[in-house]
Amino acid sequence: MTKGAAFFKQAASDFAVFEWMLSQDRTVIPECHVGHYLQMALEKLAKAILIDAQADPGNSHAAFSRLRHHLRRADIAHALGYADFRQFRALLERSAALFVEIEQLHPGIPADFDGPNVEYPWEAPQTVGTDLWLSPVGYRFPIIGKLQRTGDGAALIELIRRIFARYPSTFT
Amino acid sequence: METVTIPQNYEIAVQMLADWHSDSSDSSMRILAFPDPNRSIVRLLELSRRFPSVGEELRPVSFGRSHEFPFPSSVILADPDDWQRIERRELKLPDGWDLDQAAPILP
Repeated sequence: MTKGAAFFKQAASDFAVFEWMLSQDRTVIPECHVGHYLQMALEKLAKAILIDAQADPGNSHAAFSRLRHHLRRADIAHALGYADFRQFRALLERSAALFVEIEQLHPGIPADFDGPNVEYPWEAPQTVGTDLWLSPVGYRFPIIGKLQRTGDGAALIELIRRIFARYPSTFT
Repeated sequence: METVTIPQNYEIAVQMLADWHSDSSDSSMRILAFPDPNRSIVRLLELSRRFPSVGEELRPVSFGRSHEFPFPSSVILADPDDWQRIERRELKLPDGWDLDQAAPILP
């Protein structure tokens, strides 16, 4: 297995777990876990594609937002089943904030940020009651609701499904 | 902090999800509801020239219930040609989606 294929294989498994958790009762499954699998899946998916494009992102966790620029090509749009390249490009433009918000679920992005993330507790702002520290469990991550409440949320998930389904023929 | 209105019953939840997903700038967009007889799962089929054809499988994007939206929901994005294939029953709807119960929500 190549390095890119290994990243892709793990990303596909992470994304399947994300979709399963997303479909479950989120009053039971904390949103941090849903977001964690989403962030991990898309970081690894982006790395797989960038590695196969000879643009290895190294150890940086900031790969998914780079993917948006990489996708903005007519041949990729058509390979993924989007007949109208302008509409495909418009979806990528409208989704820019979602790409960034998903990437920033990681505790290391942006660098030196000490705030809400899906993995580790963070020091509470002084305005939050008497708690000195906050934990990802119990925190409401806005991105999860946005995926449901916006039309582009479902469209982005559909785009990512298509990338997974057509990865070998489109990117390798 | 963003304020979200919580739908209080099934009918309001169906309309609310359709409103969230509608796009007035997209003249090709139509949204149909596939009501759940148990008034539990919100099911929408969203049609637009913006969306790629589904190919041979209709696969919903599904969300579990949450504090803000206390109904499970499933959404299928398809293009208008896909809808014609669904109406001719050439494309199979997922289990629980009844074509005879499809109801236009938007426009």
